[in-house]
Amino acid sequence: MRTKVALLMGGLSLAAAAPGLAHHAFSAVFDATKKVAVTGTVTKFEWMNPHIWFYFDVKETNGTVTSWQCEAGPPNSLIRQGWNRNSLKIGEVVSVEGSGAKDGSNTCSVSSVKASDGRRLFSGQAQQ
Amino acid sequence: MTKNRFVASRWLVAATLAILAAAAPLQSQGRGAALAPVIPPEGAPKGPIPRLPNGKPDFSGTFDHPRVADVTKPVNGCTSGPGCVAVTDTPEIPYTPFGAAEDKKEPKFDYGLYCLPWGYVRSTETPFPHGYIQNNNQLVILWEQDNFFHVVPTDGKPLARDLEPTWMGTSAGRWEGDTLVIETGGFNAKTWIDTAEHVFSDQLNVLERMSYIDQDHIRYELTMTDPKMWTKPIKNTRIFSRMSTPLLEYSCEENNKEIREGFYLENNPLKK
Repeated sequence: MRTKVALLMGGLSLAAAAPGLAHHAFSAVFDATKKVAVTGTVTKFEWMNPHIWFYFDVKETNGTVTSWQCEAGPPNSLIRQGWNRNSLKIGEVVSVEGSGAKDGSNTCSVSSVKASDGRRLFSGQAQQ
Repeated sequence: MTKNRFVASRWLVAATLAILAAAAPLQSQGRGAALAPVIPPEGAPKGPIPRLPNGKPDFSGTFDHPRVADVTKPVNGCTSGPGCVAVTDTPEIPYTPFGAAEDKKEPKFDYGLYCLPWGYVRSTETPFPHGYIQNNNQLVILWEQDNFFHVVPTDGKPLARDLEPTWMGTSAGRWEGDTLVIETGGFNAKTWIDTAEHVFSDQLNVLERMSYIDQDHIRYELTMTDPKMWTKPIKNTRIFSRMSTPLLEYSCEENNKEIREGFYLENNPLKK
């Protein structure tokens, strides 16, 4: 699997990171200007309050594996959009975009999650 | 009088601009009829509305509200769809010198991070809807945010003075025709009036006026007074939209990285 890890400085709006604002001080943890784009294989999925978290391994071009953790919105909001605890499977390959952590760790607040079959996860209405 | 007219006119302009800015009709998504793109003044509702056995309006139900992260800014839309509006006549917080000094204090303790109560005013500005259960004697407010609740007696008794300071305050409700007027005081002042971290003092007095626009939309007028912090009242007027879906569970504590693991970036196992 060819993976891509790109840390792009950009103008990601705070609105895209709204789920983070819902609970904690987004700005204390994440840098809205530090745009993250990562593709990897899901290893763990926490469909839990106050924000869902998922963990995934990214295979670097040199063959090493880097572990990432990212948060999205809370279950109640995602349920209203049609998502549930089965929306993301362990072993699934996802492309994640979001805001990176201020401390430079492999942590992000997502603005977009795309499955390998093209499904957009945790945004808009779920595909039934 | 001139000043009042100016304020009223500025409010109307702000309301109109805020709503027109979205350039989309305020359609309610499965929540009743389309809503005209203005916040109408208090008055007789359009069509029949739910009523209590005593004949007063019954606000029972689930309602979506605008996500008001900053009371100085207008909002168009509900937390999960269109149909809500928030307008402000306070584009800037009118701090007293004491209030300005308090506002500048950093860092502010982020109580929400630790799942403490969001506070009375801010609870109705959250990213999640709220609901009401009502009878002849009381209105119970149910917030999905942190699954918190608050009881408002509606028997017309005035708000007691020298209240015990609490996170959510103490309320007293009375009817003015078909408008429910709720006065709330007795705050511990450990919260903010919004996510923008606008602070207030133990002198905060909150006056809310709730009335039906039609059976699916509530006109909500919020006036906050705090002579210690502000030189004049802060006013926000909003529209809430009835939802057909119930409130959901929300547990702030469940997998709260800050509480379970400390400030999670400091304890981040992936930290470089």
